[in-house]
Amino acid sequence: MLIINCPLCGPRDHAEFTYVGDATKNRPENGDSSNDHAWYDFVYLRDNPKGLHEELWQHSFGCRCFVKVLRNTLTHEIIATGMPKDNLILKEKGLELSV
Amino acid sequence: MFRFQSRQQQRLDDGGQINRLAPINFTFDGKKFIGFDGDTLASALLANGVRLVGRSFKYHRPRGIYSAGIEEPNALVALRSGDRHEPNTRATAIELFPGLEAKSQNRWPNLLLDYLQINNLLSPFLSAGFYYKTFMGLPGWHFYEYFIRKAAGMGDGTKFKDPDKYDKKHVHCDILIVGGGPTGISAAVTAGRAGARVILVDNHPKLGGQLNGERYFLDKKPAHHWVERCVEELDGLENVTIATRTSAFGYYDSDVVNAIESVSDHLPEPLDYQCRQRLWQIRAKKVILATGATERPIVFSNNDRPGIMLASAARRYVNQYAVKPGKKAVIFTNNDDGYKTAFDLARSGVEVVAVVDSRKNIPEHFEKELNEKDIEVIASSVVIDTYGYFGLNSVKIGTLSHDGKTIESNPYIVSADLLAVSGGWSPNVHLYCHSGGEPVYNDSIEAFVPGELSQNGHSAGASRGSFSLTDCLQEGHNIANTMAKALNLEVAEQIIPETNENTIVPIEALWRVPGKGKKFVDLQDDVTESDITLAHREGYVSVEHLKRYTTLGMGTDQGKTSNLNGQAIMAQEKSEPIEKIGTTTFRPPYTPIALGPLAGRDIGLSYKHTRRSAMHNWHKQNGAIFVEAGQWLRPQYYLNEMEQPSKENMDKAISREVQTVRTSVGLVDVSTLGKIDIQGKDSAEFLNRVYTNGWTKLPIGKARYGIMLREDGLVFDDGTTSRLDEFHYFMTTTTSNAAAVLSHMEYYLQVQWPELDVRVTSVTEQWAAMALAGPKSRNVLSKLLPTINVDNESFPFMGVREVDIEGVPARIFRISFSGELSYEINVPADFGEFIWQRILEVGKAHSIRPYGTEAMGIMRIEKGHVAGPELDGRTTAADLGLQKLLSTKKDFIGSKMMDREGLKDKNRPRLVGLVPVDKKSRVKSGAILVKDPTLAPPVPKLGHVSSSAYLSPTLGHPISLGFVSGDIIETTKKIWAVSPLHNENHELEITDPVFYDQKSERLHD
Amino acid sequence: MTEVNTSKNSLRRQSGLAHVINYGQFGNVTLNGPSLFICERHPLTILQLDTNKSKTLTDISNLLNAEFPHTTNTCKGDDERRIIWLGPNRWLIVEPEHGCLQTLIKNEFNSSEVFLTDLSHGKSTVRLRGRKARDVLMKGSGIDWHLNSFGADYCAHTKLFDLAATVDCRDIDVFDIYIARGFAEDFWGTLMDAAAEFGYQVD
Repeated sequence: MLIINCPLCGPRDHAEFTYVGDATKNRPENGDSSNDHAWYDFVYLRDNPKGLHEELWQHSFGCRCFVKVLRNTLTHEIIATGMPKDNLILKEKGLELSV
Repeated sequence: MFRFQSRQQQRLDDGGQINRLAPINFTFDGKKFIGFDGDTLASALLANGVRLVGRSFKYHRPRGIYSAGIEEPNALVALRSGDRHEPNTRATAIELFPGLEAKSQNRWPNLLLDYLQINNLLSPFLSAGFYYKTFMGLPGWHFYEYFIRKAAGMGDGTKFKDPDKYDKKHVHCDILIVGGGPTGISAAVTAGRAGARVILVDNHPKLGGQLNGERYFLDKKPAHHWVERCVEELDGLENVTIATRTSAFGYYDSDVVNAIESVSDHLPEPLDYQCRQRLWQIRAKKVILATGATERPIVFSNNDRPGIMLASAARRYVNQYAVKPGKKAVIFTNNDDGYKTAFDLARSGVEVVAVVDSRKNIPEHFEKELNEKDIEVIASSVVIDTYGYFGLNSVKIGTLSHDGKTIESNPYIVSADLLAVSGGWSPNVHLYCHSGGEPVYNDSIEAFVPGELSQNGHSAGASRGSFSLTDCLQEGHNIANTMAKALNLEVAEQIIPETNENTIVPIEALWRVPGKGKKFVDLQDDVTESDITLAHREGYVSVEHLKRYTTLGMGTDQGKTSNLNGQAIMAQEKSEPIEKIGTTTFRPPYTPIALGPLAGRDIGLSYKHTRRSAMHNWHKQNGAIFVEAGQWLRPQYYLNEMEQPSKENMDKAISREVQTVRTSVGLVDVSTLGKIDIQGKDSAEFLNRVYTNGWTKLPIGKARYGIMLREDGLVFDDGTTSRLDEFHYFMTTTTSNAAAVLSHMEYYLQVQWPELDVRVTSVTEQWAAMALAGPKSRNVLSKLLPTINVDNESFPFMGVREVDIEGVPARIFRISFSGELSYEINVPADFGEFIWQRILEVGKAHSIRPYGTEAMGIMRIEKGHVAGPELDGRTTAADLGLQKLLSTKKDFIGSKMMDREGLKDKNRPRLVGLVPVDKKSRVKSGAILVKDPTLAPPVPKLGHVSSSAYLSPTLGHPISLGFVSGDIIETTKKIWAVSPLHNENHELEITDPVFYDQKSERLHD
Repeated sequence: MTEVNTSKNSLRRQSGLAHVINYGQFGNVTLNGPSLFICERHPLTILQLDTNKSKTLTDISNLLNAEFPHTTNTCKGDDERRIIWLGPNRWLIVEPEHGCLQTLIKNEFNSSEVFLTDLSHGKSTVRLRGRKARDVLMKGSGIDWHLNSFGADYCAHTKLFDLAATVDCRDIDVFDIYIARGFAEDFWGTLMDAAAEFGYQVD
């Protein structure tokens, strides 16, 4: 069980959320073939970091908002949550990033 | 009146926490006994002089009661009978209830005469890994396995359905306290006074913990006075919840602790409307782990006989249950604990023959009481061996050499029927470990204690190695105040009572006694010292390997009394300190739990909630046979009044329904399709991005078919979307993707394109939907809508109308899945059944018939329409023959990746029709397509069958849709479908995927 | 869209619970009577309103003579009309079916400013009342139902007995539960089972 603090609804069981994916990937502009690699990266490449990781979850049983979650993959500790546009790692700058 | 077999000859005349005025009758192996309210099954058996209660796991050695708590490795019994029969319950943890039935386990034909005790004589051969080493290499392991598993055994389960209910409860608190002993009570009082929301859980029927088994005084009064006073105060505090008979079995992430409340396990059966057990899921801000400690044995020869038990257990039986666990006792100890047992036994009239202390120096402060009670102490000595097959009768004692490796002087034998053993105490660090913590070894108590803090669970008292009662009380108070402060509460005062305990003289580790014979480390799994030394000799270096090889600690007791001894012996063999050897990982559950409370009420039909359409009741009453489609229940087909469910009648019904739609008119419930309301001024732009085709020019009052891709360029879903107003669209999705499509769109609107002014809302449940299909559907519709012109010009194909049917607002879409002229009618769900019935009434003139998903499926295969089996996440638009829907004038989701080389390969499998050459064979969907079924493997796969209609009533033979590699389609007309699982091969002809009305004239008519 | 002519259709509107409700007292009802009272609220008008224009919202507020809750997970209103916070810029207006709420708003406001979705038929509404109401909710959802965390005029969109539900705390021990219509029969069965140990009355 994880408890995720929805920025709107407050702390809720993770069962109320749907895991969406890696929140660190940005969707490129469609563009021409010059950004092929960016697309390949966005669609397929995923890191499996040990330590802090930004993830996207949807509060699908609640307010239906997408929530960004900063989680420590080593301990499962959820350090911070925010809206999709928030940069949680920057927000938690005081934090030791090399966990 | 029947006579009871025993008169509780071992029961003391007074004392204890039992109610002598409330006798309780029970049976053990069919014999009748009597105990008292307050007894456990174990204490009642001991009171009646029953010492032999079971046979051991592997060697079938006679075993008795070894402990007085949940750590019990030996006294496992089968409880109750019939559908409430429960194997492997611990006699030491079962509260006695009237009529309790218990049976011994792992013996045949009975406890005294157990044929498999031959295993004990064969034991020199039955070392660790014996069965695998001996039998696995031989042919026929499957044959031996059955007998081996039967011989090594636990109790048998029941095959009956569990008659009881199980419940769940989610609770929150500021401070959860696990354990209602002195530490937990002290913490609860302080936390409660500080105003925190407190939950205190304890697995016993009443609070007190270790205090209940001791003769402690607090402020010069017996300790139970203090316990009662505290409980009274806590009961009066609204912010404190005490949950007894509630066992916290796991500490999970986010400080969630799960516990099981035994609501009615202590009763013969649950009361009306009462559940048997209840799962508590506790979400705590802070957790105090006051889980106490468990005493461990010492490993010596024949240390498993009935009559040998933990020293603290012997004490608890005389103190709490007023039962003498024997008449003549020897105490064997390496720490102070044995002395407490000696004194308490002596005080209760048990003859204490000797205290055998492996330490050189006897603590001075015991001398006075030892003299008073005339108890002999034999220092620097050990118990070498024991005697008595069905129960202890004598004990062999000898002096330990200086280095502890040999026995020095001539050993001698004393007679005794009770041997109380204490090898020291191990803190119960299990929950701390669950929370992610790693225990560290503490030399001063010779045990593992919690290390660094993990999550918000703090250990206090004995569970962190503080064994003095004063320390426990003080630590409970202190940690509660620390937490109160952290929670921004006022700290609270509590006067810690004075105790009468002695200073504790440190333990001197003694893990095993030298000498020959069977020396059990793990009593439940029959793991002996020699198994561990064997494992060491065979090169098992890690404790995790040791555990798996010898099965040390793998029983239902999870090695509560054996783990550390095993690890210590391994450490000695390796000549390394224990902290280097480490400990195995503790995982939930702490004690065995039933699956019932984990499932709660999510069983049977509630396992997954069922979704019903607004017309469900009508279907039910009109012969529908239902099929599950995701969570929905949908009519598969309808039987006539006189028809019984059978395969023939099913085929008949489906053909009848198809023919009705093809020739006249039918009505099908399509409420399950996903429906999404889309509003906002950027809706058209948004649809342009999520669908592959263009949406800008769709006029108001028109619908359009579209497909969506995923970012990787493969097809995600299909459906129609209609424009209801300038900025208002109505989308339908497939039934199975309804939720996924909504989330998909929400993701792009919230995360990727927040600048778009679009709102999406699921309206699947708002609208009951039914498709009126068939050449006569227009006649029925015009009768329903007498004032509206529904001819082909006024209401053309893909037209959308918002109308009023007999006062009910309706949306009508002229779209078709069946290939016939068809109207999808949506009405607000509460009117669904009414409108459904009205249509059927109006359609009577045209012999209208409701049809189910089978007929619908057959007709869409006839028409070559793709559905779920074709949209399987591996197909491109071109594979499905839908490349015309890929706009080149705009970007859309998937447009970037869909042009990759592999997705544009001409030889990709693409949609075809398939007809059995014999025009009879039923080809299973999922069958693999190959060139020649007689070829030896590996046979190249050329495609697969995706959907099959076992009979197309329209064409008169079976048809299928499938995918065949492009190059094969060009060169071959025939192909084989093989289904090796069913041992079926069928030759098929490859055809156009559209079998019926290739020009789509009927739906445009 | 055409507004429902209420007087003509009130007899025909059939709730998703029409076939499962039994009235009376059930479960462990003691001499003190039932600890729970359960009833369906039907027919209701349930309208989702979505706007990010604060001026528009103020105007709607004035038109309806009702306040919109701006704090997350709260509700406003009285027994007649409830306005429930649903999500950012999104509310649910609930009232007994009588008027033409949707038309009323539609006639006054531009369809590019305020977005209305009728959900009256898509949701089934159950009212749970009594001193054991919170204990029943505790069985089905992991949120904190303690009075101090979830008092009157609080609402939650949560997973209740494994279903997406909206719970509106009308009063200390009165809760309105909104559930998708298709699951209503199943939800009702689960609710009755969970309530049985307390004794309940279906009104």
